[in-house]
This record gives sequence, structure tokens and C-alpha cells, in this order.
Amino acid sequence: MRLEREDWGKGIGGKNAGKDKGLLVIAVIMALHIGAVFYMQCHADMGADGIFSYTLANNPYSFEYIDATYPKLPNSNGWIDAHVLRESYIVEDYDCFNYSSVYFHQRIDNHPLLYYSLVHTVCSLFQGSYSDFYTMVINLFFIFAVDILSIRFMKKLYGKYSYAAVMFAFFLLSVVMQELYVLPRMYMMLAFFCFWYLYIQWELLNNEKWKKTDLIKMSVCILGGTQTHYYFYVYVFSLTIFMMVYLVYRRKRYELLNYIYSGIAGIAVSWILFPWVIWHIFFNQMGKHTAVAPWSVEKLEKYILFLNDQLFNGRGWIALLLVGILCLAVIARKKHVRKEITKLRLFRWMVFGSGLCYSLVIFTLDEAVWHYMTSLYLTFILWFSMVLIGLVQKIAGDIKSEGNREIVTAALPVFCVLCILSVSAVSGWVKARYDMARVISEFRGVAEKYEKYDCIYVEESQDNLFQNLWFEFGDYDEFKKISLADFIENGIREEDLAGRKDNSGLILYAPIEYMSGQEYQLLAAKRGFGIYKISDEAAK
Amino acid sequence: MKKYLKFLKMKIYLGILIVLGMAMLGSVLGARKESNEPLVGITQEDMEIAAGMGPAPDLIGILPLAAGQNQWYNFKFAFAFGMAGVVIYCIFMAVYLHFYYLKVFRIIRGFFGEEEGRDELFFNFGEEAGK
Repeated sequence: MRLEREDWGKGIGGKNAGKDKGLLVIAVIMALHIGAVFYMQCHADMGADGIFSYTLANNPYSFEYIDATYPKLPNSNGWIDAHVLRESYIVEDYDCFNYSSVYFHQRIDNHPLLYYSLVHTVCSLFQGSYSDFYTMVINLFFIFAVDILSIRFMKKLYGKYSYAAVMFAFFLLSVVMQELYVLPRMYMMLAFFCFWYLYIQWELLNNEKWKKTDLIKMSVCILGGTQTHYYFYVYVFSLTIFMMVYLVYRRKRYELLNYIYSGIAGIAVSWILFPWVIWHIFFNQMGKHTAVAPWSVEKLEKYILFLNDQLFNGRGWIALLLVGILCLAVIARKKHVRKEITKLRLFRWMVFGSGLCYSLVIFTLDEAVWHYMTSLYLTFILWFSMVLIGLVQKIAGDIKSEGNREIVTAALPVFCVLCILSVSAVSGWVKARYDMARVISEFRGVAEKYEKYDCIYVEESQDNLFQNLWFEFGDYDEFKKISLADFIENGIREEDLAGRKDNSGLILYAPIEYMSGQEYQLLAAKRGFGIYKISDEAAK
Repeated sequence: MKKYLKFLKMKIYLGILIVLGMAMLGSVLGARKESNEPLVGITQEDMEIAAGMGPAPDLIGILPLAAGQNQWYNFKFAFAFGMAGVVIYCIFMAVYLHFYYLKVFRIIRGFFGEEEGRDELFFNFGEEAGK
């Protein structure tokens, strides 16, 4: 397409591009996106991930897993003060903005500092209280940042804000993106830093004269990303290799030297702040990746199916079909002849190559763990958007009116994304989340309603997270756990209740299947676990 | 001396790299020292706070506190090594200044794209690339 080739010499997306009405449309779509994310975050399930995020950020004590420490807790006939459990995930006035404890917990855990520091910061602003939103707001901030970056990216690549609509279609319809929005871990943050790094690479590739600010931004991005998750190193390596090969090929030795310098500066500051990365990565502190399965036909099949599920909502065949149709249309209109490799094409290959390399490395190590592939998702979305836009630009190139050409070039890829991902996949996911959120809210509401009561927990098996009920137990006055075997044999005996400070009411958490014959009032149930109220007479 | 100080300023990018590298080394060595020592456990300060009336965790004096387990050797060593890096940079530049205009170094700088009128390989503060 002539427009594409000619304008690269002039630098598309610069200040000479003029006002773009597409920006208004994109701003509206972005507002809808943020609103949709906020709605989903209102129905997020914290689960084990949330417990880890809050406890690793806010626990004032040095233990990482409670099971080994539990016997040391002061108790009276097994009854402990439930406030000790609450202290582990809430910031109180004595440890407000105290990052020393966050630092220690990350030393013994296997993640860097930044995310947990942010969680601790938000919790410190609301000391003494708990809310799911303290982690969700961090995700929301980075989702907003990714949205802004996407808009700027499209403007830089094509000179049109409106083309960002293609990426927003993915953001709204991809199930894996919805999972990322509501996951109370650092992965949305990781996605942002990887995307930002990609954006910086485009700026360096596109500009013949580099600016100091771009290299400083690269150092800052590397600092932030390496302090977010260690898989950032894998992604940066995948992308940087391509960039360095390009710089060597173009004999840009001066730029190459400065590029390496910026990278080293970012990593050096990161390792000065948190040198335990050496033990986490090189000495494999957590004993991960010790049983890596070699590549085989089965593993390759799993890899392809995994990518199909995560990237296309399981509808990859529709993507192949639509891209095939677009390619045929381009060939039919004889628009497929290219005379030179533009920077845009080169960048598209870099994005594809880096995403492929990253996915192969991570799948080799971890196979189908969806959140470890986080760095791939925005890379893929950008790449596929560029493919669709590139094909449609060739088809729509003969439209005389620039406005109509822009509308077609934005709308047709959006339509393709709609056909590929479909609305039903996301709506089904949202409905399931909404239904589960109602159950969780009801379940959590019991602990809030009966917070002055004491709680007995029937422990099915040893679990450092109390089968993801930690946040519920922290709301009660006193807490005791008994084994399932003991409960099946003896039920709740009078001697089990002795040792409490007072004769408060009693709430029992037990697996439903073992409760037949018991005459306790069922208050709520979730995933086979029930909350029962023991009558006040029995409680005394 | 004036020429030396000007040279130091001109090559400050190298100084930053040396200081960062040394500080990073110091940080890792400090972390290694701390890793090899047993954890601090319950401190005297914890016992004093437990005996006092101020705000504190419920189990202070019973369970070790996370904040008290850090001895911060990594930052102490990083600072010390960073200062050593400054000294190394000054000494290295004092020696390098004498050999700076030797042909071999001019060839090396030229290979990395040094243009006429520009003596440094890296971006200097206050300058844009290519200017």
C-alpha cells in the first residue's frame, strides 16, 4: 500500500498528523472497557492468589506458611485469638507503610518486590480494613495504562487513533484478558511492563535519531518489569535479541552500545534494590522446573491447543478462515506485491518472533499454566491487530475518501475479531463469575454478620490457606481447627468448646457431606463446604 | 587538573556504569552474607515493645517479626562498593587520560561510530544523540 511505504520516511504519528476524530470514539470505547473491567472486579474471587497477595504484603510476622507456626500460637485448648489471622492480611497502625516486612517476605518467597509493595501501600492507605478492591485497584490502574499505551501505539504505527478499536475488541472479548483483569496477582502489571517495553522498541526502531529519554524510559521499564516478575527477563531477552540483530545488521554500533548500556543500568539498579533475584532464579530457591518434560508430538499438540484456547477463545479455525479470506482478497486485488521491507513490517516480524520465542520457552518450563504466558497475550493482540489492519489497508486502499477508508480499516478488523472471539464466550464467563460472586458474597456475609462469634473449622486436609477461607476466619472472635477424622468420630463435644474467653455463639465450617444427622442450622454453602450455626444452648 | 576534571565529567556515563556495577556486586555479596547467617528471631526491641504500651502486633515477643529479620547487609555493602566504584573510576580515568589520544583507542572509538567532533561513545548529559 503506497500510503504505508511513503509515509514511513516522514514518520507517521508525529505532531503533523492533525486532529483525529477517531480519538473521541476510542475514548468512549476505553471508558466502556474500564467500566466493564470495574464491574467484573466487583465480582472477583480472591481465592488462593488473593490470600498470598495480602499475606505476603501485610503479614507483620516472619512466617510464610502458617501450618508450621500454628502450634506456637498462644492457645487455650486449641482456641486462638482470630485477630492473629486478621493481622496477617490487614495493615494495622503499627506497620503502616512498613516495607521492611514486605522486603523480608519477598526474600523467602519467589517473587520480586514491586507488586507486593504496591499492595501494602494501598492497604496502608486503608489501615485496619480489608477489601478485595485493594488488589483490584492496582489491576485497574495498569489496565488503564495499557489502554492509553494501545491508543498511542496505534497512533505511532498508523497515525490513526481509531485503529486502537481493534485492540479494544480483543480487550473486551478475550476470555484470558478477563481472567487477567480480576486475578489478584502481579500479572496485569507484568503485561503492562512487557507492552511498554514493546512500545519503547518500536520508538527506537522507528526513530533514526535516538533520544536520551527513550533510553532512560527503557532503563525504567526494565527496572519496573524485573521487579514485577522474573518472566519479564524471558520476554525482554526474546525481544532484545531481535533488536540487537537489527542494530548489528544496520551497523548501528553506537546505538547498540547505548542500548546495551540502558539495559545494564536498569538491571543493575534492580539487583542493587533486590539481590535475592540471584537465589530465586539461579539457585532455584523454590525448587521449580525440576521435572521439565521434553518436547514430543503430544506436547506440541498440547501447545497448539493451549494457544488456541488462550488466544482465540478456542476458535482459532475461524481466525485462520478469516485471515485466509482477507489474504485471497488482497491477492485478487493484486495488492500483495511489496518492493521493500518497511520498519512496520520488520516490527511486526519482531513482535511475532518475540511472542513465539517467549511462548516456547515458557511452555517448555511450565506447560499450560495460563498466567505464566501473560507476556504473550498483549504481544499477540498487537501482532494480530497489525496483521488484520495491514490486510484490510490493502483491500481498502482504493477507497477515495480518507474518512471512509479509515472507518473501513478500523471496522473490518473489529468485525473479524468479533467473529473470531464471539461475544458468547465472554458473556458465558461473566455469567459464571456473577453466579459465583453471589455465592461468595453470601458465604463471606456470614462471617461479617457473626463477627463476634467464635468459629470452629473442620480441616479436611493440611492446607496453609485454610482451604481459601483465611479471610473469613479472620473476622471472628476466636478460632479453633479440628481434624476431619476427629469430627467424624466425635462430632463437636463439650470439651472441644472449653477454653474460650467467653460463651459467645458458635459458627462451624465443615464439609457438607459429613453433616448428615447433625442438627445445626445451615447458613451458607460454597463448593461442598457449609457454614453452620450451632445453637446457643449447645454453644454454652 | 582542570583537564582531568573535565575528562571525568565527559566520561561520566562510564563512571555511572562502574559505580552501578560495583554497587550491584556489593549488594549481591551482602545478600550472600545475610543468607548464610541465621535469622535474627525475636529481638530485644520486640521484648521491650511487648512490655510497653504502644501499638504492636498481638504476638510481638512470641513470634519473630518480619521487619526485624532484615539486616540490610545488601544495602550497606552496595553503598561501600559503590564508593569504591567512584574511586576506581577516578583512578581509571587518571590513567586513561594519558592514553586517550593514542591511535589504538581512537580506532576503537571510531569503530563504534564516533563522529568527528564527538569524543564520547555514549550519550552525554545535556546532549542529544547525533548532535
